[in-house]
Amino acid sequence: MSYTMQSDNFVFGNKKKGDQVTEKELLEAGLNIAALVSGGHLSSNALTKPQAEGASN
Amino acid sequence: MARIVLTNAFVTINAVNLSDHISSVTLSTTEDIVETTAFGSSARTRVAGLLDNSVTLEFHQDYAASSVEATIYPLIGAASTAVVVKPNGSTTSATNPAYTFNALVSEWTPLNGAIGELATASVTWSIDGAITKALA
Repeated sequence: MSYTMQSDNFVFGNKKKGDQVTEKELLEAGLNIAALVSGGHLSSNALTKPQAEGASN
Repeated sequence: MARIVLTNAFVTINAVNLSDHISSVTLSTTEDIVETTAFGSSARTRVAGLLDNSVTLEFHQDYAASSVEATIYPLIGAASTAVVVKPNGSTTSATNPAYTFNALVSEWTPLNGAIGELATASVTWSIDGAITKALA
């Protein structure tokens, strides 16, 4: 699981906005990932399963 | 040693740099004093007990994306979060120590102020565990 840094004021090592960080790195730093996503500092790079052809919602 | 006037203190909360929206920071450590006086003593005797740490911050409220409210509000009631405080900018050194700790965001004032005043939030958060001081 990885995340993309979305804000300039999120400080994580030498990384900057647009860089990717892993869940493991964030957890090891003791950070609250849900709060960072909610606050607009990170976005999840989780893959979404494509719908099968002909599938309907 | 040079005295210091605080003009550039550095504060990150959950790794988010909110320094430009903070006007005051106070990091406090107190130690319990446990009395050990017993019969035969001619004066009270004491030993050091547990440390109790807290941080007090004064924020300038900002509801913009990725700013103060967006960063702090999701932390209310959550597990303790990483906080770093430095006296003068982001570069840690012998003369600019980094104080790292986990604080419980147990208090927040989303809206505070009167007409014509700056919207601010002044909070004191208890620290979960010890404060680590780094010089490099």
